[in-house]
Amino acid sequence: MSEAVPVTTQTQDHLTLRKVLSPIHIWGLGVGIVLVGEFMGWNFSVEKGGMYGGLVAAWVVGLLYTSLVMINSEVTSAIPAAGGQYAQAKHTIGPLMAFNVGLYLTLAYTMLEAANANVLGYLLTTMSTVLGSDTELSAYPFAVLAILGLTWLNYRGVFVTLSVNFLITGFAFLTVVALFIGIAGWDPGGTMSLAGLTGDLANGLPYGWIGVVAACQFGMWYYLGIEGTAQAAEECRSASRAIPLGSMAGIMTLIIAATLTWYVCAGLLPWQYLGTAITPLFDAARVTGNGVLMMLLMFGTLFATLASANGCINDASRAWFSMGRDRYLPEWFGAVHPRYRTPFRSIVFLSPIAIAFAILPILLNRDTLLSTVITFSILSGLLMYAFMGPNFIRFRRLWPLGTIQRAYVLPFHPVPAVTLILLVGLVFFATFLGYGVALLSVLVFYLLASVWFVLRRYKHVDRNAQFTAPLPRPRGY
Amino acid sequence: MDARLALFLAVVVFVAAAGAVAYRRKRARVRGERGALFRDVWKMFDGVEEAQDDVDFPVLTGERAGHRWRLEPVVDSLTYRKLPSLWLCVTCYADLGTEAPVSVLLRPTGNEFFSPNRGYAHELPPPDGCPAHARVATPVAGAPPVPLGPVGMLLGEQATKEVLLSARGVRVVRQVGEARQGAYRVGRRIDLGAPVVDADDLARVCDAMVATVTERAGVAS
Repeated sequence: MSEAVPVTTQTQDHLTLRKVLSPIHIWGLGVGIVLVGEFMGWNFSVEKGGMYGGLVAAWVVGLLYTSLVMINSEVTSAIPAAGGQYAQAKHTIGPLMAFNVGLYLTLAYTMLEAANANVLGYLLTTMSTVLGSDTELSAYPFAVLAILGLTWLNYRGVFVTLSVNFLITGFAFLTVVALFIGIAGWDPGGTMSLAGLTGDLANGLPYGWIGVVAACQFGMWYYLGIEGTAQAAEECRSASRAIPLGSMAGIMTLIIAATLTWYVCAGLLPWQYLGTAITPLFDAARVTGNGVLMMLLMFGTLFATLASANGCINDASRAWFSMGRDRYLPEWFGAVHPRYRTPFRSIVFLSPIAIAFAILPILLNRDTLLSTVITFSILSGLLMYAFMGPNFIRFRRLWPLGTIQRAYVLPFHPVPAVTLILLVGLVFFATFLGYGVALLSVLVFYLLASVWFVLRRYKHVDRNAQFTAPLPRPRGY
Repeated sequence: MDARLALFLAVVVFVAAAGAVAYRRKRARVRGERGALFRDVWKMFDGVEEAQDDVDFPVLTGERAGHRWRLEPVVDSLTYRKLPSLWLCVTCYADLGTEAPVSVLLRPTGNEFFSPNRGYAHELPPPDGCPAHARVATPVAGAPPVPLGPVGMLLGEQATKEVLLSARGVRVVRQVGEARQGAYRVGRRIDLGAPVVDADDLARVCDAMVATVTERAGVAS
């Protein structure tokens, strides 16, 4: 066998197969498509648990995601097959689990995309009023055009040189910092009224500790999607520290941003209003009366929602496409555009679903239905996390340390896995408190989908094509 | 119209116009950068023809060592949670007389749309020197294994993705670029930079392919 010859492909900018993240991009992993959670959605946790309930939820769920990211890092570094949680499920559990994971991923991102578009539509119509427009604009065209525009971008792949840039997501983060500075956030009694709005337990913990538990449901929104920052290189084992380092840095950025966001909003808005606001940071800026801050937060929210929606279309369509290729879904979805090389049928198929959920709150004239759309996304993500803890414990038992190569080894096992399992259970219970119907609907949906898969699709699955990575036989096989 | 609204709209129009100008310039620059992919390998082929579709990477055809060649870059951004890759499909057209095509696909994900491997139902034992993470397949049941010959030595190289032998010739798929981690992980932006195919590396690959074609021609005769 010949020795591998190093690739000597030249590039004008020294492109190599193994890339190292620059510090700004390490920081940016927490900003990117995840930051939108600071601009909308998290505040529904305040409605459920009060001001302090929302803050505790942010930190507790931050611990959930820390465990999740660490577990994901080891599994990704150990299974030499690209495809994230979807490929991991195929290799460690089987087709039914992989189908469910693919479905979780698709719907989590599609519902997030819908929520982004809904907020964008609301934001622009509100802004037109603030700017003095006499005409009350409809949110429909903004929400629909946002999704269609981003769908078009994703449809054309690399033929579009205009793409969502790191700069706009970085700008969005800076607007939060600008708001903090603009209101002299270091003086809680100045522009802010932190003591007045949160000091009383009736504002801080209106429902007591059960409210804190309930608030954990929307605490997920600060971080949902951070697991998407893990991307495997072609050789399938990224630099050993790149994935956990980058994702942990992203988590830390988000925890800081979440606390900052909570602090700013808690000092400017009463919890009863904050708990139902569609654009909490933008509303906080409006309360200050400062036109510059208002404009900054308008653009910050706009950029954050666009960046997030763009990433959601990308990820959801890839998950759906992969299921089509694997025949978990009709192979029709596994087609690739002959010119643009994109999963065009998956992209187009998911677009009207996102539009439907984006305009549903507008259609029913109930803006706060946004919280239900968000809940669908949260529950889809939560179901995937629910399986990750037990799957990882099983993974360690089947392939103990030393039996397969691991670029990253999770420390203190099984503490992170057990922590993840317990906190996921907590968030499920939190969702039951107030969104029991949504919880039940989602569970029934996935159950029916699983039945459909077993009855109608399983016979098409090529079992030999599921386990392609050269993992040794598991212990006890 | 309210003065604030008018000012806001004026700013929006100005920014949009400036953005459009910048976008056109960027598009022209990207087309030029991607068009330089084969800058260093033109001299390797005779009768070179290069076609570039809009801002896509160009496709090069030409003749070398008595055979017709096609170099086609393919952007692959389809696998979930994987950085997009830029593959180069190098095809040497020749009459190999093989009974059935055989594809050796390395590190298969199932999403390799540029490869027929997924549609080949019958797996074969991997050839000597082939990495463990590979799928060797043919569409014909009971077809005998086809010796890959010199081109099989490329299987041990990290850049090689696939080696395909068929009655029409030989094809090797190599990775020539990968999306920048930061841009893709943060904002799903596919930034492949401005890769240029290395002439020495391509010459070595082409020579291995020609050697296989020559060997197969000897076997056929």
